[in-house]
Amino acid sequence: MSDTKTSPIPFAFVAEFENATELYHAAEHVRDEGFKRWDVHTPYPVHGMDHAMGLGKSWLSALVLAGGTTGFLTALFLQFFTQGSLYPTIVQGKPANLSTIPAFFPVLFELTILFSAFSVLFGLLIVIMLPRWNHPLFNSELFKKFSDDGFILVIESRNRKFDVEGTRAFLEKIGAKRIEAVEEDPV
Amino acid sequence: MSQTVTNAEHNVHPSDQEGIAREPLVLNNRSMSWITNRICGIVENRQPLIWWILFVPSVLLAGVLGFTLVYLVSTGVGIWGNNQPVAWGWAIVNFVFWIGIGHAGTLISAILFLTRQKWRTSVNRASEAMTLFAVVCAGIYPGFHVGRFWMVWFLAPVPNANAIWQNFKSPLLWDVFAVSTYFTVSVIFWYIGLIPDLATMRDRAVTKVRKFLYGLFALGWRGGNRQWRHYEMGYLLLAALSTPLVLSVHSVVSFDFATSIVPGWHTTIFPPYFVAGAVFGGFAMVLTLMLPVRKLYGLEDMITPKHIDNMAKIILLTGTIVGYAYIMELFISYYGANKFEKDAFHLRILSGHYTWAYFCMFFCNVISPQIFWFAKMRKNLWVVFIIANFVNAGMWFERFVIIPTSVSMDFLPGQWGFYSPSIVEKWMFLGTFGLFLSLFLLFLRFLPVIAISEVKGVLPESDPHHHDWEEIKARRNAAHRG
Amino acid sequence: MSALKSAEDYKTGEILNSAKAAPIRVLFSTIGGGATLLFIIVALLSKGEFQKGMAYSWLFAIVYFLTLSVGCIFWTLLHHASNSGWGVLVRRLMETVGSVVPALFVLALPIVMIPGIRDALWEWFPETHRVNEEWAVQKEDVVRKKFEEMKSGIDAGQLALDARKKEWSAGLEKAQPGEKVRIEAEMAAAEASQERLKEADPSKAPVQNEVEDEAEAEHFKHASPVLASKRGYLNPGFWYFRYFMFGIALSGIIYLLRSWSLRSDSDAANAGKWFRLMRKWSCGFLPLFAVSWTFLMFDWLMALDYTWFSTMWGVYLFAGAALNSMAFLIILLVGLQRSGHLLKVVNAEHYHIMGKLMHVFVIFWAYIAYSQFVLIWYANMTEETKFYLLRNSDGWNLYAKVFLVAGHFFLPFVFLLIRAMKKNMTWIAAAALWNLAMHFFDLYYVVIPERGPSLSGGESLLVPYAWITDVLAFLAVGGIFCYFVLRNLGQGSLYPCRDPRLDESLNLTN
Repeated sequence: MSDTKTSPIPFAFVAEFENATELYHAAEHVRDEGFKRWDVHTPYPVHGMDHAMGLGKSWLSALVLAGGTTGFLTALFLQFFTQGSLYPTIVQGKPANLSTIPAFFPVLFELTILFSAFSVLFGLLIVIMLPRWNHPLFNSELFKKFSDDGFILVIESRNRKFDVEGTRAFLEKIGAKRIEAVEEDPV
Repeated sequence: MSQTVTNAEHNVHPSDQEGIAREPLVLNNRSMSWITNRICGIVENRQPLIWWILFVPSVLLAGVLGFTLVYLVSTGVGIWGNNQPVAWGWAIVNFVFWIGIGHAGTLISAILFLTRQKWRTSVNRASEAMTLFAVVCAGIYPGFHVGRFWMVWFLAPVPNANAIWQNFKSPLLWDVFAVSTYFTVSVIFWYIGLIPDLATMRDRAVTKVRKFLYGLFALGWRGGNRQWRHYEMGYLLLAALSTPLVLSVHSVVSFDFATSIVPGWHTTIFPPYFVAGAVFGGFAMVLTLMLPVRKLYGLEDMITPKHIDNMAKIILLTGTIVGYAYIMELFISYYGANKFEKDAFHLRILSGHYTWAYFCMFFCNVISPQIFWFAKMRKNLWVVFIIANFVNAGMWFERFVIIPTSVSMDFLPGQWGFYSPSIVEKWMFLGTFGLFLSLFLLFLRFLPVIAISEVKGVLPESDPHHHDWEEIKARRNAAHRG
Repeated sequence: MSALKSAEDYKTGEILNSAKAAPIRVLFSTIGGGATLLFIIVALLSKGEFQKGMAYSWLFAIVYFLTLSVGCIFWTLLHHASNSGWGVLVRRLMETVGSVVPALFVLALPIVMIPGIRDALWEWFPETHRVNEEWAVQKEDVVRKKFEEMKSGIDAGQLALDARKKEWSAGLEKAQPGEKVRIEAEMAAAEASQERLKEADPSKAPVQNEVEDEAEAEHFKHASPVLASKRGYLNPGFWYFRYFMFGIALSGIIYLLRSWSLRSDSDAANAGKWFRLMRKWSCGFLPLFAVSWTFLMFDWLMALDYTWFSTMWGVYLFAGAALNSMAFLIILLVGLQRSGHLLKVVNAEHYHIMGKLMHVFVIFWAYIAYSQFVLIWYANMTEETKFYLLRNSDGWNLYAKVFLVAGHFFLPFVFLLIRAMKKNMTWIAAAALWNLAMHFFDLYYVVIPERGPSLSGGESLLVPYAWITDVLAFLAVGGIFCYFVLRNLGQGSLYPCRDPRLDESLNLTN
């Protein structure tokens, strides 16, 4: 455990739990306690954890819908504008108007998918606030276990309900195996 | 119909009997840290000798590809065997072949994800990588087949000097959009899947360079549930987008042929038939690669007989669908009463130059996978490996049968011609195998070959309700005995 | 989180509440029986194009409900073959809807068997008949002429041979040894060919038959070239054979699976055995199912215009069948839950999965329909394009845009994207009903446009007022179909209560 004397209020408490089930129940307790800035860090997404943490459905899908629509409209414009009015080329026995839309479908479809996929990528990065290569939690050795087999619960000190002694006791009560206080970077 | 129920079986509740109980996806009760160590170990430790034995010739072959391409560009496409009437020779055969192989990755990642097939986790990473490399190999061919490679930007939707735009009514342009979208989306899919594993690599890294590079690409992933929940949604969305995409790509490839009126090309079943064939060939390639990888790196506990069994079943299923399409084609060529169509198939299967290719194809793709009806054969790794290679060959022959045979003898007998590949084409094809293998071996060397975080997620104890399931099991067993 | 459900608590199963089901059954049988009666009366009283057009009405109705039934057979097979767990609770419903197939094949008997009705639908029957009649008239003359030709051929050949023999024997005397061999060989060949001519002596019976057959084939080719080249497939004998074989195959598959499933309900000790048996046979049945369905649809629908063809046809009808049988299952499930059944076992998660499957097949149907259309439209070959040309004429064009492009694909596609809609019983039922309605329009678009041109010899697109009998037939077959579904539903538990995978289905999460 790192030294908590230098600064009385750490950045966060990092607590490790035995397994997914324990962590799941611990999350339910933390949720019920009313903490706001906290999270569980696991090697894989734990099924049902959103419910245990009291989180709703991700709204990423709305963003992607917008991206897809943009792609669809882009393709519509690109094809009808270039083929219909900018420089109509009357080939393959197909007219240069709306009746040719079956031939425009593949590109309509591909661009819809392409734009949607980009909005998944960038939307996701924005929503989960990455890339962020530096984070106080990386100062913790215990925290690093999350990417191997650690089931980690982190309660940040920026919670109104946070107090150093009380929260540590609370974490012990709900079954934390090890607890570590993490400091923010000195700089 | 009657199966003997042994006494031993009577003591077990039906839900837990063999063949009914869900088999574990990771054998020997391996722990999470064992999984991390085993998979990361492949990257962190020195590569076995055999890796080098494969890598060096692969790179040399890839060099041959580079050489042939330079030769091609500096000399002209005349060094290929293409002629009139066969303007689409091996170049397009190989393009469709590689693009087809590229379909299994997305299938495993996306369709099996959507259908909640948990066994995908052990093989999805490698097959996605394979997809990308196959698409890279595929992209080379049409790129150079255009003849004047330095004008390849004409494919992009940019007007030329006379302000004429690309013809959006052309299936070949659809192809450009489909393949480039497919490649881009597959990269995104692959990369998003990699992020948590890159974080694992970062946290284990001992050297500065590794820590920096893996850290850079892990983007600072912290595995918090507030990240995971969006991540899972994003992954689900990408899967949902990739599924129709993968269907569309090979459908568009099939449109290249089927929108024409060339007998043997123009048939309405082409789109789903090509998609099924692509999945079929792709799975065969996954097996071809993963069976040795599994053995070489000791991944038997994660790529279990169950996984191989499932993949063999998919090969059987898709092979049979392909067989259905072959039979539909033959039947309609008879039933359709179109003279040219009838003759095209007559030449294809009875009296043409390429009849042998048709029978190779039929045997490899339809007959040989039927052996997988027998569970014993699906468990025998040698059989699986051999059949997978039959399928690889068969799918190449399929494209060969479709492309040159149809155009070499079409409407006017006076225009008929024979096509055989030139030496440059042959070496080029071998060269793409070199490129493909080099890229795959580099992938093995630098990135986790199995999706670590996903495999951990399918362990029984990963489910927070694991204990409730144990209770149910105990209860039903008590009731069964009592 | 609440504890999981254990199959131990649900192993007694649940049966249909007959007090509640009986009045609905009576209602359906009244609708079905009444409409059938009315249909028959109208058929007997009417005449001309209108009367013949009723054959199309009946075929359309049969095919509509057959797709629902056959789709359920597919879902049952898929459930077993894919080793799936989620669907255990709805599998009995799939089996039940599937088990109505034999009834539909029986209902199809009149249009298949009665020549007057049959000929109105499938023009290749009267066409074959016409060619045969012609042949009967010409046969004697043509064959006699052929015989005479052959006989005179033999005689002339003999004369020529004799003459040449003389020449050869004269030549032989003077010939060098090498030339001798050549002449002898020539002689032998000429004699052999004369022998062959003689063997084909038309006074011999087998030769006569052969010659007759040849002449008949030639006549057919001349009289009806397109049909002649597919006569090996489209001939009455083979056609009837196929009807029976496909009926037996499809009925047999679902009969076996359903009866094994029902037996496993009461045979707890052997539940594992039944489970494995069903899985094993389901895999084996799949190819049989695919072939039967494809060729049945070739026979009944593609052959409505025997000159048209599409390799995709079987897949296209399969897509519609799988989609709408799932829609029907959703409706059935909602109906059962609304009337107080399955409330403890089936929940929003099941609807969610069924909604997703329906969504997938909305997309798959569109993919297949688009691919088939775009390939034919793009290549624009006469014999293929005629299918869409007819269906783009006049009102059918707008019809296709509204009902198929927008109604069958875009609207349900967008609606079903929303997760909440798939989890809500009312909304998913609404979507399912919508899809079933669009399926009506889809099959209507496949069957009915053929009617006007076929019966009027290409004079008119539509038969006036024929839509009335279309609706009547739909009610008749639909009433009978629903009656049988309800009746069969009462024959066992509403879900396979001893299935080893029941736990999984009870505790389904998406």
